[in-house]
Amino acid sequence: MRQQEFENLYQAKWLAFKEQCELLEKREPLSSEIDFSANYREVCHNLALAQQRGFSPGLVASLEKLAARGHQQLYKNRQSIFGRIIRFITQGFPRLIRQNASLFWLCTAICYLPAFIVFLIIWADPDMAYSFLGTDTASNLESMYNPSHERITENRDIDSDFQMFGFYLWNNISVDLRTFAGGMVAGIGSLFILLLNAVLLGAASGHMLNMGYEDTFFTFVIAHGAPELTGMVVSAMAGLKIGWGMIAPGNYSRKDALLIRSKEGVRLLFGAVFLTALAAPIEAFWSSIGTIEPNVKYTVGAICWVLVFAYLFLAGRKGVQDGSE
Amino acid sequence: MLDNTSKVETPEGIELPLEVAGVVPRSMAYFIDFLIFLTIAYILALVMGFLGSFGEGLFLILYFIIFWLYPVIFEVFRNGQTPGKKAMGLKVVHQDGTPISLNASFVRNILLVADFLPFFYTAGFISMLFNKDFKRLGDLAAGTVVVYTEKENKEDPIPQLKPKAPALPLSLDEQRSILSLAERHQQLSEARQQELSALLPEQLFPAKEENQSRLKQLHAFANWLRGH
Repeated sequence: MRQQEFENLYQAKWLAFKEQCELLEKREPLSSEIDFSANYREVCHNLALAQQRGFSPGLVASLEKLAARGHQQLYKNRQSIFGRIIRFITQGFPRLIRQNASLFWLCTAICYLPAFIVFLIIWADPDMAYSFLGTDTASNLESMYNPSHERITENRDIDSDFQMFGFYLWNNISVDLRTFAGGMVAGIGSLFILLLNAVLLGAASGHMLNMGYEDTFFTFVIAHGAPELTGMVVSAMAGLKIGWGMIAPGNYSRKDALLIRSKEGVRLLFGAVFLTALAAPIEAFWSSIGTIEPNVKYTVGAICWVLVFAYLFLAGRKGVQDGSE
Repeated sequence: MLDNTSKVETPEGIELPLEVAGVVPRSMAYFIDFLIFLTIAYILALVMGFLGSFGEGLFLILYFIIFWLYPVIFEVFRNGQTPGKKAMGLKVVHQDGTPISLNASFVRNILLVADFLPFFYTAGFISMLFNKDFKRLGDLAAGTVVVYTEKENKEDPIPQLKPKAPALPLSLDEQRSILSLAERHQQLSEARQQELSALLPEQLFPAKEENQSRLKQLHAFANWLRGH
């Protein structure tokens, strides 16, 4: 068949297909009798024929464009984003943590062991606090958690609670995202940010204990610390996932390993962001209330920790485990 | 051939061309997006400034959203195009040519932080220089490429002439060259067309028809090849 004959035969179908693409691009539905994928396959077939028979480059190019438009529409993700987020939070994320349990415990250890060691050092030698924290941070902490300070025992008004909510959300999630991005430097960036925060946590706890401010400090951090610290650990997992992909790609090329690991890494990161976002309202609206009995706050804090770990290790055990998403 | 087309094979067994975009148009798109981001942030700050510390909290939340998610929202819901990319005629797709997903867009935009290292996008710039698809680090991890949006190609019909069979059999490549040259007769100067036609085998143009110009003969062949 010559090109002219070929064009005459299929021109009408190409035009119709182009109109269908235009409709879909405007997010309008096609009428039910149109079989879009069959039409698309026919265009692909026409393109292959045109290339193989050496038809003119102009025709090949216009068929390529047509096929590319169809390709974009056919392979579009049609699931609603909202439904996917709900399913990820209720099932996908806890499952992902359990699949990567050893990495989770490794990162947990990387976070809490150094924190504990620094805590012990400062407990043994109170002056070390100033070496770890620096005098500015140390005196800031001292004034923030001084029980005689009236700000602690008085309730903040709702406006400044909300202001702090915005601040925590912005600051803590940004830390998560940077921790993940730090994975691109062979994981070193993620490790560094995690360790830095762990040391700060250990040093601040030790220092507050030495100053005798432990009640004000620990009642403040214990509740929101559960999702927040876990979120930090998970974001380090996400970063290490891609970092490790570059160091030890296994049977893949480094390029492919990076690609595969970051697919999993970003899902971990979504989970970390979810946990951290959860921590922000607790931190702003519950932890900041200074008038509640310490015992109540410790109990609620302990419940928060139990809930977070129960969520990670129990949620999503039932249901279809198709590994999609 | 040295060009910026990267072919992807689809499950249907055809190859689609992706025309990947380089450093300059992408930097300009980024610059436009950055200006838009600054404008939005400025307006937000101005409005929220009236609302006291509640406004400050709201501002931080909204600023957080536009700082990290501005490109993601546009790429996912606007067909792979931020306003800057749209202005430059670019869009971002998966490296297999399919529309970008939320996860991939998130990866590539969060990793802008890594591309920024050590200062002003040096890592991203170097990565783009060494990659044949101009991928920055974020693109490498997300498996995405930034491509030119398909321009509507205007097809010039080849000049209608009495079809004439060439004197010797032509290879597919030669047939394609003749058709291509005929299709571009309005875009190229007469002299350039003459020059290009000289690349075809000389025996194609018989001496006895010297009075008919080479291009006329070439267009006649093109008509014949097309099957007019």
